[in-house]
Amino acid sequence: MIEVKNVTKRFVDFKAITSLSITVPKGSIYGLVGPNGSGKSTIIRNIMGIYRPDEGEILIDSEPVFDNEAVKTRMAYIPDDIFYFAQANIKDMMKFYSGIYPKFSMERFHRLREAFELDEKMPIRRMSKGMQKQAAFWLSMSLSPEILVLDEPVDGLDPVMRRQIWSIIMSDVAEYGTTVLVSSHNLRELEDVCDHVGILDHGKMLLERSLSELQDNIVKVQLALSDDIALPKDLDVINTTTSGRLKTLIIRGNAENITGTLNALSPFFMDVLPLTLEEIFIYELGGADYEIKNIIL
Amino acid sequence: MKSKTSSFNLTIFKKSITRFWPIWAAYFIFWLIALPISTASDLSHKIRFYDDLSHVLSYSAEQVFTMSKDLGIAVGAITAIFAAIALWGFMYSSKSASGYASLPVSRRSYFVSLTLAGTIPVIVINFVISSILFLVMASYGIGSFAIAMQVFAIITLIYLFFYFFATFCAQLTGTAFVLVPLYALLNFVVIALYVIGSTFLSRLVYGLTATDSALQWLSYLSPPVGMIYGTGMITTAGTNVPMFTGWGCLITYAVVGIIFAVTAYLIFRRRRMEAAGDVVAVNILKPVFKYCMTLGCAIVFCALMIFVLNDTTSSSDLFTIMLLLAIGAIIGYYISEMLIKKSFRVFKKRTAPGILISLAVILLITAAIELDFIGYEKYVPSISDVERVSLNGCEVDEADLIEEVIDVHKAIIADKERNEAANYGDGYFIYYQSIHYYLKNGKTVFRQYRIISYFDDANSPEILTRINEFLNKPEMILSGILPSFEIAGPENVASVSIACEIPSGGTASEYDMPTVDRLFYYSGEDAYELWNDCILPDIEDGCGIGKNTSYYYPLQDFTTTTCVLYFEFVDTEFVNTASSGPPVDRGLQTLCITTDAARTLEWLEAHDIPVYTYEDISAAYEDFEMR
Repeated sequence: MIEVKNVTKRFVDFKAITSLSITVPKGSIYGLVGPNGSGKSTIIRNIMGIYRPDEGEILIDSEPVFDNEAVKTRMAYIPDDIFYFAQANIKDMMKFYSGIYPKFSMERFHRLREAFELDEKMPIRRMSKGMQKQAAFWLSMSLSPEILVLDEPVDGLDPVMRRQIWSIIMSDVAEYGTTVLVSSHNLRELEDVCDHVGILDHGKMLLERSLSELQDNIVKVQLALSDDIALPKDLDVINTTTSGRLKTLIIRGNAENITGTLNALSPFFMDVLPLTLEEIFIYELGGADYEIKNIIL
Repeated sequence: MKSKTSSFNLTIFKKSITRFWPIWAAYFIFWLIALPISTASDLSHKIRFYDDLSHVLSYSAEQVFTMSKDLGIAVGAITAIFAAIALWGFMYSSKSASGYASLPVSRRSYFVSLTLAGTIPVIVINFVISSILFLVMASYGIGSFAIAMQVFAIITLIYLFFYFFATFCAQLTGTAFVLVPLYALLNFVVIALYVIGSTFLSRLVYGLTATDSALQWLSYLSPPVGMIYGTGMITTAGTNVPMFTGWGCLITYAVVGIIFAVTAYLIFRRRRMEAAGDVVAVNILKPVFKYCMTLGCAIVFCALMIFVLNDTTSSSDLFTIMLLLAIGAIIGYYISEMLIKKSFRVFKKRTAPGILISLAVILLITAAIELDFIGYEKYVPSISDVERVSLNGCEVDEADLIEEVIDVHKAIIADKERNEAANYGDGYFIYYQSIHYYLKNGKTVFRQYRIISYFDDANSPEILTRINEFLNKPEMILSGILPSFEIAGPENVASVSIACEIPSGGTASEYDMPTVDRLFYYSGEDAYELWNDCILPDIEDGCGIGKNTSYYYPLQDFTTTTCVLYFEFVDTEFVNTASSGPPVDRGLQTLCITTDAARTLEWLEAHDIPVYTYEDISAAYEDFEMR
């Protein structure tokens, strides 16, 4: 489990993160969403023990991460900008990582070779950005990490490779209970994979929820009622749009209870529509004076 | 609870060595050529000319020690900074700093592994080179394990200091572009600051100057210079093989290096990896850097502008100095702000208090110095406090002579205004006068003054005449020319060489020149006789030998001859108990013979040494040209 407790991080003349708290449960996939400059990479570097927080603490399974070899041995990190030695190829980096990480699995490395189909002897610096990302995934997944921290992981990858990589990660989560923290500036990217999502803006957490919690608590309904019937007052309608007789309602609450209540009004037409994660956040944060569309789109 | 951390990581160690193999290879090739190959080449020639192998060994030992210490300093310093850039360079890019810091390797483990990676290859190479050197010398029959091991120790100790120092410097910054100049600057900063600072202060403070002794002590704070000062060779009587001296110096530097390494570790342990790219990587040092830059730029700019403006007066106008200091301080302050902030947008209101306070402090201190608030300029020791005093190198310890020097000193102080008022273009000579007091309480007082004498002055300034008369007293001349030990008999006078320029004479002149040089050589009794029975009595009689001819006493006044005597004295009582220095103490003296030195001229005539005046030589030239 990753616990970020009231972490503040300052740089020379600005505060990148302010009293930020995050909890990533063991075996979950946590999506950290926010626009550029929101502090995603900064908090990830703090979580990886690269930076030391100015205030607060970061614990991995109750142990501090900064300068802690034993904890970091269980973690793998794929930054946006991949690190490799200037002259190194994949084989060189594999030898290096196998010396550094005791849990590096050669068997897994050989097994993953088929998934990536990269030239192991080609210097990494000569590879395209997408190929470098693949190389980083290959090496990182070979570490058999218990915690995987990914900063904008699929940028530069083609859709097929994105799917391939997510499927490897998901199978690791399912098989080994790997904990995954993944950042992205695009909420849609994380929609299908995350079970927890946090939205970060200006170094502060705007919202942190589990996906099921979000999805179970908000419903989008299209319905047409006769003019003389009003909506019950106990419905927590957070948004209404009207087109002729057809109303589109965003209602906070349990889907089953809400549809039961609305059916009792004998509507001419009623349909429960799926809400995208993006929509959920827009409506959840709608009253917080945030330009949420700018944050998550 | 934090898990236990290791202190060394073999993978990091091995990877760091193998990644930067070109550095070690270049280092190995350099020393291979400079020591074994060069020694082999030398020996192949020298061995033919010496029957006695001990002479060859002596020569070779001198060569390899000189190479090891002199080249060792340069090569050690350069290799160390290359190694430091290579090994610690990961901290200078955000990508690599993050890459390294995310690995499961503790800071302690990194530090130890990288420190060893920067030293072990060099130590191994040094050992291999020394072993090859031993084999080369052995192949010529002069193999000396002791010499080879000393070479190993010299180049290793030098490198260790420089690598540890470079490691320390590497922690202070976040960019390699700063590391190199910082390392170079810190290696020489003390001596440079002393020279620039004292040159600058000497313009403000009448009589203040850099002293050689202070310079020598401070040189130890500039390691390359200190190592040159602190190391040498000694040939022990009997063995004839030179021994390296200066182990104390090198070991001290190595120990200081270890202190730098420990400090570097303490900084590295808390290093902020986000400082990659910063000029100053340690937050606490940012104000130190800023205000050092402000002060440094103020002094350097002021000194530079005075030089550029060709201001040759001894004391510039206070307003000009303050203006130049202020401009330099502003430049330094804002450059440091730009470097720290990595932005040109630093001219903001919030930076104003810093520069205003800096300017106020600098200008107030400058005014206080110029106005002599601490009384430095006016201070003259009282006669009761002085044990001995040296005026322009002539030392006296009799009370009446000390008093005379003090009076001269007071007169120079009183003459301050005239000496500082000289302007470039007025046409003048500058005579530097130094006074060095050795006080009874063990302290010393040193002053140096520029005495101005204008071209159009009918006579030299009164003070120069007084100094001249004082220095040309027979007892002063004798104190100036006598060696530091007593000349008790012939055993103390090793030799006298007499060089004469004489007219070649005849029509078919020798070598077709108007004059020729002749050299005569005497030792033992003859040399002692010339010194003791002729030179010394002639000086006591007030003849021109040894007289100071600097101030309106041109050579022509006492008609010098072309004879120049070079005496070499030996102190037979001398026992060298120090770890360095020569095995015997020698003194050398050069004397021009004047036509009023009756006894000396008589001796020269008796030994058939031709004595000519410069008038004779001029005549010979005229005659030659006529022909």
